[in-house]
Amino acid sequence: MTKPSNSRQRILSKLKAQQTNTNLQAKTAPVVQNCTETHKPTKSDAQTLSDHLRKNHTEVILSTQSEWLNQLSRLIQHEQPKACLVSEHPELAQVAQKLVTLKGSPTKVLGTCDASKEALFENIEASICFAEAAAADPGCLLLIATPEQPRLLSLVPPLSIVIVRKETITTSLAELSRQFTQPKARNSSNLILVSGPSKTADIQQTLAYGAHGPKRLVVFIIH
Amino acid sequence: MGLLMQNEFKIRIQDALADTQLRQNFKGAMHFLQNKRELAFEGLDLESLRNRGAQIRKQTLNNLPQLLEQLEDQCIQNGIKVHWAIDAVEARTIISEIALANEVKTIVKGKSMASEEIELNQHLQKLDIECLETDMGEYIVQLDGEAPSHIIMPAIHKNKAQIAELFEEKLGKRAANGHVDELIGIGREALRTKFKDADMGVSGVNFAVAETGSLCLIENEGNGRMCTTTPNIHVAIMGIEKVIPSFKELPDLLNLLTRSATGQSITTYVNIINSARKTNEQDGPKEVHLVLLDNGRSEMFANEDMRETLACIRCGACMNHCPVYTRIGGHAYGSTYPGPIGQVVMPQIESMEDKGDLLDACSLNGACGDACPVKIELPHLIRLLRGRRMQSKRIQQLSWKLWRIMNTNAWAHKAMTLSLNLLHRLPFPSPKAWSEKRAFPKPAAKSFSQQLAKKHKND
Amino acid sequence: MTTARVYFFSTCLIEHIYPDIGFDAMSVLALCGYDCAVPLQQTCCGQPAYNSGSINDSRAVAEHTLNIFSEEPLPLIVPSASCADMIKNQYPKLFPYGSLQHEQALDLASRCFEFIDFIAKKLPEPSHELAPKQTMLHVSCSARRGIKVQKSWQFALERAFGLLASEPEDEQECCGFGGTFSIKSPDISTVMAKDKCDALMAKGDQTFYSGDSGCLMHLNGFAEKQGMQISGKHIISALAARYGVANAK
Repeated sequence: MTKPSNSRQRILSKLKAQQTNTNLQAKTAPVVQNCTETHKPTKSDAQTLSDHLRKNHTEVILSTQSEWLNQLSRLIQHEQPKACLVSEHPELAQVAQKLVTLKGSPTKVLGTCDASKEALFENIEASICFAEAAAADPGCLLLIATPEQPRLLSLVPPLSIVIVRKETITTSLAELSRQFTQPKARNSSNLILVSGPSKTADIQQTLAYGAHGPKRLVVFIIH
Repeated sequence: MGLLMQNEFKIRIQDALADTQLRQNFKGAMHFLQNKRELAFEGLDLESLRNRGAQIRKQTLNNLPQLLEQLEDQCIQNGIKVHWAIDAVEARTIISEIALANEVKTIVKGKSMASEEIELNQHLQKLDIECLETDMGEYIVQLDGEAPSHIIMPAIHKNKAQIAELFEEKLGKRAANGHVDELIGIGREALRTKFKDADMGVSGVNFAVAETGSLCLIENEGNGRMCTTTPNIHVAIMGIEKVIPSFKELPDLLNLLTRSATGQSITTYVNIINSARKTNEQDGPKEVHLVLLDNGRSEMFANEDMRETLACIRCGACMNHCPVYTRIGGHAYGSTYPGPIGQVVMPQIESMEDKGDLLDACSLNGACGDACPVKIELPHLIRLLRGRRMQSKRIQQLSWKLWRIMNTNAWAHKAMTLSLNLLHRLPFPSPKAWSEKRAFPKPAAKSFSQQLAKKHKND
Repeated sequence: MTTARVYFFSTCLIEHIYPDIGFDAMSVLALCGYDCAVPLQQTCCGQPAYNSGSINDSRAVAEHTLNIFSEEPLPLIVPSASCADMIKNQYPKLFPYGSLQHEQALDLASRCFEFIDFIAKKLPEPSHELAPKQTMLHVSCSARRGIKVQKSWQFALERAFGLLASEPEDEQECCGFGGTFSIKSPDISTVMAKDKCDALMAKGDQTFYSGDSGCLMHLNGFAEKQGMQISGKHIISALAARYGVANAK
C-alpha cells in the first residue's frame, strides 16, 4: 500500500541527535506529585460521584441490590422506548428477563446480538449497560467494550442507562486509571469514561444536550 | 512575498476590527471562556497543577524519540498500523492511499487540528472523497466554506442567527424559533446517517500512551466516538509531541486541559482506543491506523530554545486570554493555529517569510503565558522568534546595533540626548503609525541627566 | 532622620520625556529617608531590543547596566514596572549559568525594587484623617504579571490621599502600548487604547492613576488626540505634590 518511506528513520535520528542537549535549567519549582489525587473529599465517594454527574446533567438514582431492578423497570415503563437494547454483561443477566415480562409494556427488548447497525441508528431508543467502575472526582463512569457490551450501545440510542456498583467507585481519576492497565481493560479494544449526556456549546456558547450521542444519561448507583 | 503577506495580514486585521458584529461575537465568547476557566480552578492549587503539567511535558519531551519508538512497538502489538509522515504532503498521501486502497467514498471526521494543519479535507476532495467534519462547530464552518477561527470552538465567530441562516441556505432546514436546541437538532439529524454509512473515520489524538499503545481522545459531543467506532477503518493523526509515557500522567494532563479549555472538570467522553475490533467484539473498526506527523516538529525539537513549543496540549487558553486575539478573531491570523500559540507555531511549521508577520501582533503583555496550563513561556518564544525573523532584516539589525552603541557608551548616549533635544526643535515629522491616532510626546527641553548634572554643578 | 543610600534608575522615558517625574521620585525618596546615587553613565535597561528579539544587543546593554549598578550593593530603585521586570526577571535569563554576569544579574535582581512598591509602606502617615474617595487605577501588565506590585500601588494611593483605587472593567487587559507594538500594529493598539479609555471613564472619572510612564504616554496621547475627557496621572508625581516636594513648575 503506502510505499515504504524513510521518514521514520529521518524523524527519529533527528530527534536523537539533538536529545543530548536537553539539560536546560529546571524552570519549574519542585513539584507536587499527582495533584489530582491530593484533595481529600469529606463526602462519601458515591455521594461525590452523584453530585458531579448531576452537575453534568446526568440523572442519578441511588438504589440498592434489592430495589434497582424494579426501579429500572419503572423507568422503562415510564419512558416507553420503542426498543431497548440491553447489554449481555453478566452483571445484567436478570435485566432482559425482567423487562420482557413487564405487563403492557410496548418496549421491544433486544440483546446486543439481535441488533443490526441499521436498527441501532433507527429504532432503538434506549440502552442499558454496565460500568466496570467509576471515579467520584471528577465524576465519570468506566465502560469497557466487550463482546457482550459493544461500543455503540452506550452511544447511539438517545436514552443511555448505566448501572454501576458502589463498591467499584474510586475516589479519583488517578486511582481509576490504574485499572486501565489491568487485563480486563487491556483485552478490550476500547475504554470510555462518561460523565454525562452528549452535549455541545459550539453555537454561541449555549449548552445543548444530545449533540450526536445520548440526550439523556441515567445512572443507577447500587449500594 | 514577505511584504505582500504583511500587507495581507494588515488588511485582514483592519477588516476584522471594522466588523463590529465579529468583534462582539469574539468579545462575548472570550469573556465566557475566561470566566469558565477561572471558576474551574477555584479552590484548586493552580500553581502546583501547572508545575506538575510543565514537569510532565518537559520529561516527556526529554525522552521523545524513545517514547515514540515505544508507542510504535506497543501499537503494532495491539494491531494498530503505524505510519510516519515527515511533512503535510506525506501525511496526506498516507491517508489518501489508505482511503483509495479500500475504495472509500465517504469519510467522517472528528475534530483534529493536525488534519487542519495538513489540509486533509481539500486534498481528499480533489480525489472525489467526501470528508465530512462532524464536530458541530467544524461542521458549521465547513458548511460555510470557512476554516475554524478557534482551536476548541471552531465556529465561535458566528452567532446563532448567522448559523440559522446558513442551515436554511445549505440544508434547506429552518429552525422555526431560531433556538440553539433546534439548530443542534438539525445538525444531529444531518450527520446521523453519515455516521452510519461512512466507510472511514478520521480523528486526531489528544494523548497517546507509549506504555500501552493507547490513543486518548476527549470530546463532549460523541461525534469522535462515532467516527472512531462505526466505520470499518479508523485513521488517527497526531503530532509527534502528543505522546505521554503512561496512564499515570493522564489524569493531571486531562485535568489541566479540560479546565483550561472549556472550564470543565472532565469532558463528557474520554475515549481510550487500545486496538481495532477484537475477535468476538461486535463493533469497532476492523483496521486502525496511526499517522505520526512531524511537519516541522523535529526542527522545533532540535532548537533548544524552541523545544518548549512542543509542550503545548492545545487547550486554547492562550488565545482566550489574548487581548489581540479577542479583538481580531482567529481568521485574521490566516493560519491553522491562531493566537499566541499560532504566532509561535506557524512561523516554525511553515516559514518565517510567510508567517513571520504574525509576530508583530503581540504587545508582550504576558496574559497568554500566565494562562498556559503547562507554563510555556509564550511571550519569550515570541521574542526569540522576532529575533530569528530579524536575521533577514539588515536595516533593523543595523538600527539595533546603533541603539546598542548609544546605550553602552556614555559619550554616545550624551550625543543621542543632545540630538533628540535638537530634533524636537525642528519641524521633524513624528512616526505616522503613532501620531495618526495619538498625540506624540514631546522630548524634554533638557534631559533628566543634563538637568541633574547642572544641579550637581550648582550644589 | 538617618538616611540610607539607594541607586536610582532613571529609565529612558524619564531621561528623555518626563524628567520631572525623575526629580519627583528623588524627592519622595528623600522624604522617606533615602539619598539617591544616580550614576550618570546609566542608559537604558535594554528592554526595547529584548522585546524586538535583538537579544545580543539587549545583552550588551544589560551588561553595561549590570556593571554600573554592581559597584556598590545598594538597593536599585526603578520608577517603572516594566524596566523593573526587565532587570528582576529577564536579566538572569540573558547570561549563562555560572558566568560572572549571571551572578551579577541574580544579585542585582535581588536588590531591584519598583519605586512605588519600595516606598509605599514608608510614606508618612497623613496628619489628619482623610475622607475616603474612589478613584480609578490602571495597573500595567508588568506591574500585574511581571513583578506583581499592584497592591502597593493601591496602598500608596490610600495612604497618601485616602483614595480607594479600583480598577476598570477588564482590568487584566493590556492598554495596547507594548513598546514597538504600538507602532508595528497601530490598528490593534489603538482599539485597545480606546477600550481601556472607555473602561476608565465608565464610572464618570476624568482622571486615573498609574505607575508606568509607558502606559500613561500611550493612553494620554490617545485620549488627547481623540478629545476624550480622561487623563492619567503618574502616581509618583501625585505623591510628590501631595507631600509638597514636587519639582514641576
